[in-house]
Amino acid sequence: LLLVLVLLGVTLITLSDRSGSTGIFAKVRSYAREAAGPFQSAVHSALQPVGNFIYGAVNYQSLERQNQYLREQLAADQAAAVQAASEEEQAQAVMAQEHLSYLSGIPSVAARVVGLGSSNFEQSIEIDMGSADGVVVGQPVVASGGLVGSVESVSSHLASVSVLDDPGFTVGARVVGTGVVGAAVGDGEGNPLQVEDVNIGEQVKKGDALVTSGLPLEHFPAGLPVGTVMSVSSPSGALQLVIRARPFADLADLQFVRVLLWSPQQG
Amino acid sequence: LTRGSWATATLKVLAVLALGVLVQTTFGNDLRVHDVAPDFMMLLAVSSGFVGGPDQGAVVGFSSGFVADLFLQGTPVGLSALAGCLAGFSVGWLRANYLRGRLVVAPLVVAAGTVLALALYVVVGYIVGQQQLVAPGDAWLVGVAAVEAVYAAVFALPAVALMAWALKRPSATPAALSQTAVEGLPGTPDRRQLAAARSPRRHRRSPAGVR
Repeated sequence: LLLVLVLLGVTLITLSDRSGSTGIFAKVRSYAREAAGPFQSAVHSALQPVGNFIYGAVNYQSLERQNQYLREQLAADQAAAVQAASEEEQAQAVMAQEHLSYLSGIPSVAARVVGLGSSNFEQSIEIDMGSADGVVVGQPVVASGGLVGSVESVSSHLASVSVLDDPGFTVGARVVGTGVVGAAVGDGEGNPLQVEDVNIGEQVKKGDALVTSGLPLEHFPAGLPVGTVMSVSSPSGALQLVIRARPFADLADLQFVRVLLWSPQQG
Repeated sequence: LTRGSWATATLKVLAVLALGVLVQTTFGNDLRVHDVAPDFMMLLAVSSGFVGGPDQGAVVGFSSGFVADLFLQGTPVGLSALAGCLAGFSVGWLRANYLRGRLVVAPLVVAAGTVLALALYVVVGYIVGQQQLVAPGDAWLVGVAAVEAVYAAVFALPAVALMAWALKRPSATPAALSQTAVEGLPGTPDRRQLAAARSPRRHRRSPAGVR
């Protein structure tokens, strides 16, 4: 019996891997999500008070630290008259510098974030827009500030979005003001992005802004704000720079996003 | 089990798994500690092995993982199913051979089983090309295992009781359910029965005059 189940599991993995994001398994997953949606809302409503209580209890230290940090931040802001621009303003500034108009000409739909992915191994969100609203797999998703991710699976009224910091997420990125192009790769929730494939000697410095490169075969239109370079180092003997970047969009607190009704063919 | 009671047990298990995945995808996210959520589906998988033995642990573990797979997107369908199957079987085998009648060890065994399921998930996933599972590093994986294990230990007894109810015959009384959780399901072979099954000659008396 065990052998049969193991073989069945291996067969499922193989078939699922080969069927890709639009095959039969993706459809089964989307039907399952669609069917569970109303029940999830009911269970969430019923258990949310308990969940909030437990979350507060188990994260008490963290919340206390966060509270303290926010108090200090507020005091600092009041004293210093707030020099830093908001993330959206920063992104707009990047666009102005590049003479690009952020999102202009690309139709989009606004969506509410209704849930998080259930796995500890993937960073994803659930949004309340689906194929009935024109959303299809692969479309870019943005929030105030910049790129959030791309649509990974879709059902009639729901979609799953793979988020920028997911370890499996990669987007071609260009350093604003230079021709340097690399690949921004997610490195887990809350961690900075890694920008790979940038050779030593390229002119990249801390504070540089990154936008989507829009190169052929890319799944994103050119010019979407991705993030800011946090650090650049060149380890001895390495051929490529080690670059870390912070996403423009606040991925930890996503409530509303926009799905760009865009496909690579349009680009 | 008769066909009717088998069907009833199947329906109960499916109901428990459906409830489990709803709780996982909603309540589970509220319980995140350091961004790590409990894994209720693997908890049910190993609990089924603890209650029902290796065979039922494998079948229910596979089903539990399969249901969990339907609500994931970055990994292939079947990966959680395989991990749940092997973990459920392992815990069931351990219980049948070494821990029969010891409900007190349930939190420890279920926590260890959940860590085993996580390890299988990551290792098998890595083998089949899911490199993103190990990308955040060893320290992060250890953190995930620790948080999941603690949650599994906390929720072990309710999960074992739930699985005892689901896998028990329809005529089960509350007393019988607790007995099931303690001793495993009727028909689950214990260590001596397994040993006897492996070496039947030892228990057979030779006919007179035959060497």
